[in-house]
Amino acid sequence: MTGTAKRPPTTSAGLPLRVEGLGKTFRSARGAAVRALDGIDLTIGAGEFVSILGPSGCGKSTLLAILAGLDTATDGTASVGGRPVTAPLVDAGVMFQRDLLLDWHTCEDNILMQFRMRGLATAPYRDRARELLALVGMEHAAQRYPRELSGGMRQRVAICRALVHEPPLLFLDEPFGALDALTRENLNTELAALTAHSGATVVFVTHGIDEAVFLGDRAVVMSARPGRVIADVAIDLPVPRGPQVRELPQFTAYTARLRKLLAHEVQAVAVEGARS
Amino acid sequence: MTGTGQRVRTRHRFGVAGPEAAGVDRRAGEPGARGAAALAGRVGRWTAVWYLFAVLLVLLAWEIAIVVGGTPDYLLPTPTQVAKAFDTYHQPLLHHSWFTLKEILLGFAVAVAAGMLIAVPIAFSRTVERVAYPLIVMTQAVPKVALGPLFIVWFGFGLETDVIIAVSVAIFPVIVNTALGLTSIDPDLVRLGRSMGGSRMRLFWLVRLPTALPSIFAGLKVAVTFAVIGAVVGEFIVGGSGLGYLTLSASGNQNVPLLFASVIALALIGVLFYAAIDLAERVVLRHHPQSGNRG
Ligand SMILES: Nc1ncnc2c1ncn2[C@@H]1O[C@H](COP(=O)(O)OP(=O)(O)OP(=O)(O)O)[C@@H](O)[C@H]1O
Ligand SMILES: [Mg+2]
Repeated sequence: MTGTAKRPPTTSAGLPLRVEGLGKTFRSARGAAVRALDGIDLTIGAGEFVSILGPSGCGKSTLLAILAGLDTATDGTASVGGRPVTAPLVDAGVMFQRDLLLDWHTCEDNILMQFRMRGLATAPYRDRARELLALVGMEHAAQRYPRELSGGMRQRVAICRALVHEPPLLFLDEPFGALDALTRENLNTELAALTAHSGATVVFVTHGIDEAVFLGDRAVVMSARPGRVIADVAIDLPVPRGPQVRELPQFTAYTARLRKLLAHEVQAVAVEGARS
Repeated sequence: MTGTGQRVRTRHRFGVAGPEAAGVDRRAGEPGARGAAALAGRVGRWTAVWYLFAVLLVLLAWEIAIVVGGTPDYLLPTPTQVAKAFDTYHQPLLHHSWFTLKEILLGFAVAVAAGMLIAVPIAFSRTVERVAYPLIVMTQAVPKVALGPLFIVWFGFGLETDVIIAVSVAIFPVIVNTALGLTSIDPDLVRLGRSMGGSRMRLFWLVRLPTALPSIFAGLKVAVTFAVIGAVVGEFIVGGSGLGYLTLSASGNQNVPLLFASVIALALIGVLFYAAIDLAERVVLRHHPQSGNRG
């Protein structure tokens, strides 16, 4: 919206993603098997923004980790740009559920870790890092250390770290979970502008139905564990999306529909919990 | 020795409270790390004053107890007599202190370098760990004092033997704490680094080693006190040089003031080394969270 909008579009157009029959079973230390994902089929086009909703513990983070090449599936395949994912995808921007900032670096240096890890000089990217910090309302924190910040502030720094190298793929795991409603809506607008502009493919895990609809080209709803895709809803709302989109009757219709689908699954979790 | 160790540790605990309290300050808008440094400095200065006061109190009580209570001075000299011994024997005291200091420094340096070199492969390979741990446990179980005579046969009656004994006791905390620090890393942090394209080497230098530092420093603090003990034990066995030897010979000559003087010199050297590590730790870990981990 601000500085970023003036930038020329990057050459890193999004990559398509494909998941077929994906399943994941965890084996706990005591030998018990936990089926986290089961028979996930998902095709995500280049530049598409897909929101993923599902009850807690249904395997959303696991799915994201497998897509990013950070975990291996037990069955099925995941491929990115037509190639099977076998190693960590280095042209992705990954944001974990926890901020995972390094305590001994300033916020700015945490963001620039993207380049240091790749063995690149950080100096050329300092401005970009500051720009992003300003975008999330954290310009004052560039030289501060993570432990001086609140949870929501840390999360915003982590978002900047996932975006700074302008990756063609973005995997975001509840990036706005720790934020107040208003900051969250502001950042939704910024993220919408940013991704529309860069053309990145985005997989966006959230518990917020509003932001799933606001940001997504599609919203995928997962079942209670073992996670399966139970609904794949195309969100047909005008782009680019500004705050006024939330006022549209279609917007409310989408959120109502997703809420109903989710409520059913969350109830299933509660019933299972009561039984065991 | 133990008394001093505890005192320094207590001060360290105060130091820990410092940055946390300062964090609250900074949230209220105080800029930079100056607040933390100032607070730590203030706490440090105050504790120093209290230490001095406590020591003076003990010395005074000691002197009075002897003068009034009439303990024979061939058993317990007065502080004044000890001070006189420092003056009379300053030459041998300096000479042997220097010798012991060198031994501790060498023993500690070798233990740290070798210990870390051994710890890294243990931390990175399950197989190495499985083979190395039994060896470490077994060698650690051997009382190093008992090996003294063997070391004399191998390395002779010089500084080398004392250093070897110091190394043999000081190396274990270095190995164990370094390996522990390197392996107890948050696996998500490694995954994050890998998603950023980090090679094993870069992950080591940028993530693993920094996260291991608090544990490594804890090991260094134990190692440095062990190095002091090892050096003195070596001097007891080998003889000829060092404060350990001076203590023994003073005891043999019934020169109790000199005995006290050399033990005090030894204690001062021990505190000096410990304080140096403590300072290095505070500088290196100034941005590490001291307790628990958030996020
Ligand atoms: N390393 C692991 N070992 C064993 N079980 C695991 C492991 N990681 C995840 N699980 C299990 O897999 C299931 C899915 O976990 P996951 O973190 O993907 O859920 P989620 O959908 O992201 O939940 P939330 O919304 O609460 O973040 C959970 O039941 C969890 O207990
Ligand atoms: Mg999750």
